[in-house]
Amino acid sequence: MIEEKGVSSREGGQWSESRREPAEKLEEKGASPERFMQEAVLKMDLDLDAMNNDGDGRLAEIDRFAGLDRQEVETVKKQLDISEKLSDIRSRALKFKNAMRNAMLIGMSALAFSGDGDFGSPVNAGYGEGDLSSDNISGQGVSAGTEEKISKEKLIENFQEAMKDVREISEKKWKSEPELDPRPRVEEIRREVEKYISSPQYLDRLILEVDGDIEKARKVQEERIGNVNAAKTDFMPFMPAEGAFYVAETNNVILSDVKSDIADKVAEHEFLHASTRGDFGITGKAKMILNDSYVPTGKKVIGYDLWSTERLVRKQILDIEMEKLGIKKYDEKFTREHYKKLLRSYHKGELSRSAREFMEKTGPEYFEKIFDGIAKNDMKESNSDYA
Amino acid sequence: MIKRNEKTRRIREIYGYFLEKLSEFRREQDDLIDGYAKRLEEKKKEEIRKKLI
Repeated sequence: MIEEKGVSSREGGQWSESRREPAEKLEEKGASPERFMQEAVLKMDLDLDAMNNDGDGRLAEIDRFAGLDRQEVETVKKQLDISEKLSDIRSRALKFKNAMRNAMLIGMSALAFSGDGDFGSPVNAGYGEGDLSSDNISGQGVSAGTEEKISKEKLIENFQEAMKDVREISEKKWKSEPELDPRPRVEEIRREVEKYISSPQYLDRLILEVDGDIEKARKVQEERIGNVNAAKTDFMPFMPAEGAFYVAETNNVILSDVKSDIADKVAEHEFLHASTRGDFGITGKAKMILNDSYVPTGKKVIGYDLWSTERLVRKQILDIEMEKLGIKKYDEKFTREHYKKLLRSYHKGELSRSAREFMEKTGPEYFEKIFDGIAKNDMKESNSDYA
Repeated sequence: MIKRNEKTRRIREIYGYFLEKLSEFRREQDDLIDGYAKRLEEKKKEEIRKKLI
């Protein structure tokens, strides 16, 4: 009897899980996230191999103890399409493994793109052929390597390739659980940003930025609306909302697949980046004011603090939030009273992270220039000028 | 700023999800092989019955 031999039972334990170590073992105290990921990627390869080997081993044992001649065994195998079905299961498992591996790699690269990571530039952390920094994103190899800088272009190219698998997995998930699909909400946010940029008040600001050239301002406005509409969106599983980023070169908005209020704010932030294609579409005058008005706060200065696009987006978010909080309408002249209200909201914690950062990192004397007419001040609530 | 342990946590989360899904693929593979073993067993029984007749 086949059953008595213990080979047709999945509980046989002869191969099952034999090469797998508990997941907790992956957590090596003190290891860098890059090293940790390298180990996780290697484990995934081994886990998949173990599954394939277990299956092959069981099949070989079943064939051997079937008590039938080779030809009969092969006939049954063919009748049941065992090879094709097995190959289908394994190819889906392999595809899934690659997608998860890419999700890890993309997640790490995303941190490099967004500036949220604690490394300064995208690096090849040494994952051999399968790394995002390599030519072969679907490669299987994992090898030790030394850290080296790679070009942003290469990272983008490999990122796009890796996203294909992630998209496929997400599409399947959203098909079976439509309530998890973040796309309808994100499209609403895109429309809100488009509405904001299309407003006559926004055009008025642009006219000032381009020294009164109405035609030029209209052109810039149209370009920005076009950029927001053309921006491609992608959604990363396992990425926190704050990990989102914008790739100007490809006009790609990469968001977390999480649905939350913070995710909505972040999506708005990234679409505003798309409007100007990062730094590319910001007028010279705006760049100058934004750069001049930056003041370090004593906290660690992150590279993107100094980018005009980051400053502009934070300023625009502050504009939107002031209107939503009833502090100031977009087309109203900015007054000392508005600033006092703004400070109150700041201290009450009513402003988003982006808006708070703009408040913290903008020289008080520049609020006048930026928002039309506020006198000198600082961030202290007790400042006598504004108390 | 995303901290190192946050990055590590996320990698662990992805790995955990991978293991979860892999066990589903494993089950699918096991079901297929179980079905095959059962079919061979039936075939063997048929042969024995034929021989006895």
